[in-house]
Amino acid sequence: MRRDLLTGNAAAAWGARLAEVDYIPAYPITPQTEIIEDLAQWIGRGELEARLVTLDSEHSMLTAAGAAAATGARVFTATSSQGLVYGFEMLYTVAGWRVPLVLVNVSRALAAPITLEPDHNDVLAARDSGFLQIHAETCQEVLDSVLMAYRLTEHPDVLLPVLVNLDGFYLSFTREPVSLPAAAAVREFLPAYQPVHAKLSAGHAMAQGVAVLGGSAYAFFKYQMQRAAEAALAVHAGIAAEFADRFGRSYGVVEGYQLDDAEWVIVMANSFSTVGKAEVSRLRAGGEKVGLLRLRLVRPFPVATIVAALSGRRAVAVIDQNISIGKGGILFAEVASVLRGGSAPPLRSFIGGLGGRRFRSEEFDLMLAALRQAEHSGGSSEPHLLFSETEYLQLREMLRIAHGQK
Amino acid sequence: MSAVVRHLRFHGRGGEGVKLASRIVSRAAFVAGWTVQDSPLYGAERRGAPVVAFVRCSDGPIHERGYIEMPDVVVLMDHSLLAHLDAAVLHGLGEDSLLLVNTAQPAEEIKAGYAVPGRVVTLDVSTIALDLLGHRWLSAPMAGLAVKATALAPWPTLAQAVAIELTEIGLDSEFVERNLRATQQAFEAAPAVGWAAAGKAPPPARASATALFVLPRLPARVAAPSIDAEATSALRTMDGWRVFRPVVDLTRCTRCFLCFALCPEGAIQLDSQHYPVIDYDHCKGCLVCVNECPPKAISEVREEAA
Repeated sequence: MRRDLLTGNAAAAWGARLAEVDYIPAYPITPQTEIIEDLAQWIGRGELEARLVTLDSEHSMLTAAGAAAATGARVFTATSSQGLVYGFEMLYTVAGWRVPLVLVNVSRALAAPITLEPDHNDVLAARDSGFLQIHAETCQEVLDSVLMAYRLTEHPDVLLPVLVNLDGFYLSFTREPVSLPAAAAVREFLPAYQPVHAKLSAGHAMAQGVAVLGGSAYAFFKYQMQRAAEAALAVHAGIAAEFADRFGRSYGVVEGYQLDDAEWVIVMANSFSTVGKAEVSRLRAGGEKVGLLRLRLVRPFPVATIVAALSGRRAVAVIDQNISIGKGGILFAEVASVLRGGSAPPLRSFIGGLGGRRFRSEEFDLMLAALRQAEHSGGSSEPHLLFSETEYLQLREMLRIAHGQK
Repeated sequence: MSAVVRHLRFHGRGGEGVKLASRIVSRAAFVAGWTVQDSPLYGAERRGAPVVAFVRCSDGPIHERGYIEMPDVVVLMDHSLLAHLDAAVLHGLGEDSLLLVNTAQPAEEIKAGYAVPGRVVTLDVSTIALDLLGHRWLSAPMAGLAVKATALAPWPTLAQAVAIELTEIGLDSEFVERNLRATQQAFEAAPAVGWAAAGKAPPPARASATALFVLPRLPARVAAPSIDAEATSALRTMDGWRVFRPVVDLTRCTRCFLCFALCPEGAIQLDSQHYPVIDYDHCKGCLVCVNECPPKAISEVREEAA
């Protein structure tokens, strides 16, 4: 094992390299492109024995990924944002084929207006597709999650594709010290893929994703995907335990930070959780019993773990780095849907970090104040849109110029 | 005892090596045994637009990410950015902080001229780069200035970091060698002023705001991301972006139009006799015209001498 400085993109590429993938269909998009550049370079130097093919779009790329997986190849691919939604219909298609593959998404906010910085409307749009989702906070977690994702997707009880999410810029272009496990140790943890279901070949024809009419058969196959996703929770627990045993790093379906005795809890996901944790430490230093719950496995949604972690708290804030226009925070709605009954805490919804917008320390002070109020005034599902008056005045000035007002 | 985290923020323009300079500094600290994190932020802008990058160094874990609001050190690749308020070069600097500037101007002039809080060190890194690299490739010598001024790592460690980072991006060994000489020259010329005594403590809980701001709804006419005022981009000048200025010698110009046709910014017009006129408010100094002019009628003049 060696320790090096790696970006989140390089960590994702190393995950694919250590998984000894066979096939990489690719299409470039900022901020994801470095992943396929690294892989292409390694293949060119003979350090990775895989076939990398550039396709004409993300739609073709995902189709090629699913088709190759159906032959029994171990497949890796990656995209971001507009690319993910351009290939959207094939997410449902290849998930329905029940073939294993790992798709890395580098989160970037969706146009319009256009930006390169992250939020999670891209990845969360895919949450109903049948792809399981792991959301990473650090570069190390990106690499480790890719390795764990192959075990998960190839498990015979699961056989659903897995998406590993990392944030553009805040992980994709951020370098941190990352421990690279030895190839031999990874090979023991993740042996070569042995297909048990789909194994298309010249001598073995099969039809994928056949037509069904009348509803019953369609429902049956969709329900089977739901059952497989439910089973993935137990499978993940086993994989995580083995991973911790071999490599010394533990990953749960959620991560608690200063959570044990926390009276007030902040729920976050992805790389901005690091910022949330720093704020929790700052508030703790001021005597506030605050903790953070980071959602890691978003599909399947770990209901029992979340209920156990949040029940009985004085109040809980969910900070969504996404916005379902006309409703609010997507993860807030998901968390709220599983908390009910006497021990369910009052909840507050905050939207922040859209397009990479920076959180301000004082916003965490004020969110805590809102939680104190919530303890007495009970539930509210209206999202608070984090924005400062200073930003608002700056925006008004830009708008004034844009519209030629004196 | 919590970890002491040192914060460096780099400002410059696309093409000046801001990201690579930050990576060399970060690599030097990593090789020297620090825990580090580096990251850049930029948009889809072309060469010349402001870029920012961050390096955190710690004697323990780093529980931080993203924009550095309160830097110990700001490394400025290009002093012309000081005049651009939206680049926010001085944001978060305090009495203990250190501003390192690539400029031929004395530190006192920069400090007084831009009301810089804290200490200022200047070094004419552009001239070092032009002399030894033949181009204003600033990343490695700027890293030399930053590593020496902060006493982050000794020269052999920095040399190792330069070699690692430049080799990783595919530069050949001869060019790496020349960069090492430029870096060493900057390293030797820079003073070792060191960090302020203590690392920046995280800002305390602030009681300034009393309630979360509630964003009002505006009419769609102004609430959409559109621009209906004419010529807003013409208002934005590229003043200060150029290192070299293209200058046309009309006595050698054959009026072939190539410079006019090939200028990627549309910053060359033709006068009534079809001679080129360069709009220096919007010329970014890419020098495509100098390269393409068949009779070599366009020359490049270093901006500070022009």
